[in-house]
Amino acid sequence: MGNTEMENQEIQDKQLGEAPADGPEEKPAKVRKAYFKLFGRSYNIAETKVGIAFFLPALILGSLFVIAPMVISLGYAFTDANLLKLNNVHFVGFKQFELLFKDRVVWTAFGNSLEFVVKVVPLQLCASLGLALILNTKIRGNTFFRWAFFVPVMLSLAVTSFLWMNLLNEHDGLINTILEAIGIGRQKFLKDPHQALDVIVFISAWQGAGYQMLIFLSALKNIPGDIYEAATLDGANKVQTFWYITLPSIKETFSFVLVTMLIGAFRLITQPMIMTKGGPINSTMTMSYYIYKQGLEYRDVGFSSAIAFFYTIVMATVALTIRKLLGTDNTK
Amino acid sequence: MKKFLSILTATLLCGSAVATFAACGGNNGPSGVVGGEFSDDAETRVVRVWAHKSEAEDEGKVYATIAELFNEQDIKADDGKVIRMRLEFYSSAETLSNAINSEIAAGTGGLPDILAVDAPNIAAYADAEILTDISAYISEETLSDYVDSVVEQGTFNGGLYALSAMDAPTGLYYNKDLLKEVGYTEAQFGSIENPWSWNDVFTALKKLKAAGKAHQIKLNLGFGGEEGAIYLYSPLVYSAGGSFFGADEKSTGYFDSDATINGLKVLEPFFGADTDGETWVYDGSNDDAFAQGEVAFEVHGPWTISTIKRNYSSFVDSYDIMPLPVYEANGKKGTAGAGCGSWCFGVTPNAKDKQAAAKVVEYFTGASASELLYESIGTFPTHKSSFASIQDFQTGAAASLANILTEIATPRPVTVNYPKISSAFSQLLSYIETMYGDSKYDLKKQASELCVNIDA
Repeated sequence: MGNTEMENQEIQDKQLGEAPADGPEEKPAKVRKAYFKLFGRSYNIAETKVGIAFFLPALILGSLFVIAPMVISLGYAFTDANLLKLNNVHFVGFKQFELLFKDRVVWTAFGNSLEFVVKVVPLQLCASLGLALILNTKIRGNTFFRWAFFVPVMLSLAVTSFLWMNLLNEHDGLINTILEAIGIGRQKFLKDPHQALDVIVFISAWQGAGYQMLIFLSALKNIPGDIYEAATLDGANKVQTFWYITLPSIKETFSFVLVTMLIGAFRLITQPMIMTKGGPINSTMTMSYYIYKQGLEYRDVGFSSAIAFFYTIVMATVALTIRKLLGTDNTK
Repeated sequence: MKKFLSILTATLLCGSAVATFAACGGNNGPSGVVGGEFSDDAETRVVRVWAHKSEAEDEGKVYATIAELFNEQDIKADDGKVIRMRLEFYSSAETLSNAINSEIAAGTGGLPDILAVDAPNIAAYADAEILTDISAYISEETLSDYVDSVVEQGTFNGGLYALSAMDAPTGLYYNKDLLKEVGYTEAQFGSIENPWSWNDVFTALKKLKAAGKAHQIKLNLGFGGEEGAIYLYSPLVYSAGGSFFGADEKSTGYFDSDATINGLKVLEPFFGADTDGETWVYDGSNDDAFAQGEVAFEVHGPWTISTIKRNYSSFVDSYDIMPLPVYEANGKKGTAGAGCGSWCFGVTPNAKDKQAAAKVVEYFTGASASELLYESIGTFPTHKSSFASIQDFQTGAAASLANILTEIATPRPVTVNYPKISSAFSQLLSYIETMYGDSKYDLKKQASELCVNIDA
């Protein structure tokens, strides 16, 4: 609690309970109107109004674009809603959820999404932290490398997807030309069910790492230099310094990056949509893309909503569990 | 002062949130309008049309011209009012779809009199009562000038729901010069009456390979996303006597029937390796591989004709187009077919005067409009009279493709369940492409698994 708040609390406690004896009789009554009590605590009305005014935009936008769609989607999950017949919707109970558990593509997509998360998160985390550690040292061309590592983030996913599609073309792509020249032989990459998802993992990590690198870099810059000096004097080596000083010092940032990266990975849609259309034979179909396909391409809003609701619960559970495990849950 | 600034900031933030809400409510409106000055009154009947293009695109510019020409005609409705077209542009198919969906969800009757609709969506739109039957307003005489496939694709449950001013027939482009070099004569090339089978194509590729010539076929399997597969290759299924769904609109037993599977198996040999370990299918990224002589065959729509005419004029007499090869078993060939279909226009139940709206559709998809579109963007006209009068269609590849359109073109499956069928068909072709030759390869099993999802 800040000083101002403490002072306010003292003042309002005095005003509500123990009005100063030496003051005029009317004054405490007038001041008392400036406060209200809620759940045993007193609040300044004027400050509360300003607070609410600041909070209102987030509340309106959050309600409109987060809460309302979630509530509507949950509602649709229990109906036979069709995109072209949204004015003629019928309640079907848990039928869509029964279908969800029977639909093999849902589980293929769920497996693919999990595989993507399990592969991309460690890869991207290590890449971004590694790049940040390199750039945190005094190396020549630091500014250039910082810019170079961040460039993929600035490019749109659609642009980079098309770029990689050309690079990976089996017939005349640059990468296959190089592979053939060095004797490895041409690879199908995006047309091979066993390679396609791994290619997308690599491209996603390449594109996303620059952003997390900047976040890590700013956290690393905030670690006081004297801690490292003390560790050096105590004889700590580089690994020990990283493990016992650097990592604990950026724990909050690490948790933030991990959770946002995790949620982003769970939501993968653009690359499979552009590069593989979920194929070959559903090997790159992700949950987000399948939700999109069911709702907007097949127009089955009811089923799409049921999958979305199920997947939201899974994502929320995983994200909250990780926060708990890392001990960075600030709700306490 | 500090408090005032705080409140002002908060108010501005609130305002921006409300403005965002206002901007997101309903659809964002058209990007451009032609005929916006007209309004309904005692002498005027305004017919609103929603198009799927921007006014800045070539196709949009043609629509604008057609709208202006219509408004100059002073065409009258049955009640004597002068019909005026108000054409509203919704920049892309997605934007138009979003606008339609938000009007349906709002349920406030905001749909216009006429909507642009892609051919495969007609059945779903008709079923959802977004389009209305206009057969009572279009005369038999008018209808008889449209090519049969346009009428067929616009017909659902016996009603006519949409008409089109452009079409995109498909065929097999072949390099005549290359084939003649390995012994073929003009008389041996496939025709509507005597089409080539896929075996014939494979034989030709082997001859070309043996002669050291370009010996691959460009199948364009990734063309147009998933939709391209059914657009280019649905005739394979019909050629072998197969189908996509039955009378109950279910696909199980049809999509995975032996006939359907046999129709698709004709592609398998092309994905096998040749003597050098390469497949017979071109998988490079050169869009002009056929025009540049890199491949001997290409399965595609009419766009390659305009590319060759524009950029490879010396190649114009070196190629022609034959119908998509047919299925062949025991020396007996299946029926020839061709993919086709493009964007159409239909009347919504919201139209205040359906007859007036039908007159606008008739004009908007009429022979003149069709020819304007052909001249501007190269899509094929949809009127028999246009093919008879336009010089380009009298000889060469364009004439061959025009014959294919008028004689054997078959629309894509007309069913409410079309999106799932189209997606499943694309996945099945992708399965052949990626898994043929694998020990676990089983096309029929794969088709049966896809049927479960189509019929769910």
